[in-house]
Amino acid sequence: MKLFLKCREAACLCDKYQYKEISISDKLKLKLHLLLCKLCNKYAKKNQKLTNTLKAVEIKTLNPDSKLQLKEKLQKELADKLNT
Amino acid sequence: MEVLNPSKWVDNYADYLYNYTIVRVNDAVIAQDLISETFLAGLRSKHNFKGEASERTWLISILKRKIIDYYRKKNSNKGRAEVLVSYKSGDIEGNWLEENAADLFDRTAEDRMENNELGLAIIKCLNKLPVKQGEIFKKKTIENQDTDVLCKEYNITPSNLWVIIHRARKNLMECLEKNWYN
Repeated sequence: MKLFLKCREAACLCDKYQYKEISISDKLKLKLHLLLCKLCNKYAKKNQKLTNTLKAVEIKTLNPDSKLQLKEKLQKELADKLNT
Repeated sequence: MEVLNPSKWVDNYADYLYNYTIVRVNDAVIAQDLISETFLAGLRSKHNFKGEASERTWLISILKRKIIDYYRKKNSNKGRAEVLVSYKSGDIEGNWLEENAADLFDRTAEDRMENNELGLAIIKCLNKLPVKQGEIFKKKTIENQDTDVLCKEYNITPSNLWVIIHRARKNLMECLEKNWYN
């Protein structure tokens, strides 16, 4: 098991960390890397900021069924328009 | 010049309009109805679109009118009684509505609107992502779907998924940096 990560690997773990899908050993490696690497540290901070922002604003998405219904309604209206 | 492309409206703008509406009417079903009406009204008045504003701005201007109409109708149904409520209790006399109307400088309402604007900025950025990247990111991040489930649905490996998520996050950070934080 290697202790030191490449930046690319660290970035990936940093993303997984945002979704809490990271193992304890990976988390330790990530923390170690972030202590040593300024650039990744910067990315990690931005990444956390994005997560916080997304949580704070509570974006809602229309559920797929409603979207489908809307699409069908529009399609029908479009077809009707073409026929008249 | 902008042209209208109604067959893409739902994919491109439904979430944007939904988030715009929901804080203003506070009811998911009514919000959906208003959006549906907006799209249909957009279709019917297609010829009025002059291509000066973006498609989204144009749809929002229709939606705004729909929201106002909704409140008008709601008020004419039951509102009159409410507006005239005045009370007399002992020596105190006054107008109930005036005294209980929301404070214009209500901090929480203001925060909510600012949050809503930020939310809309994020949706704008999400819409700029490549289609599949945006879809996967939304499902993973906003709808909190499981990695395994998503991998199966899109027939990709977990490491593929994380690469896609990484690209989406970087794009979003950049887009928000440009359009919101500055």
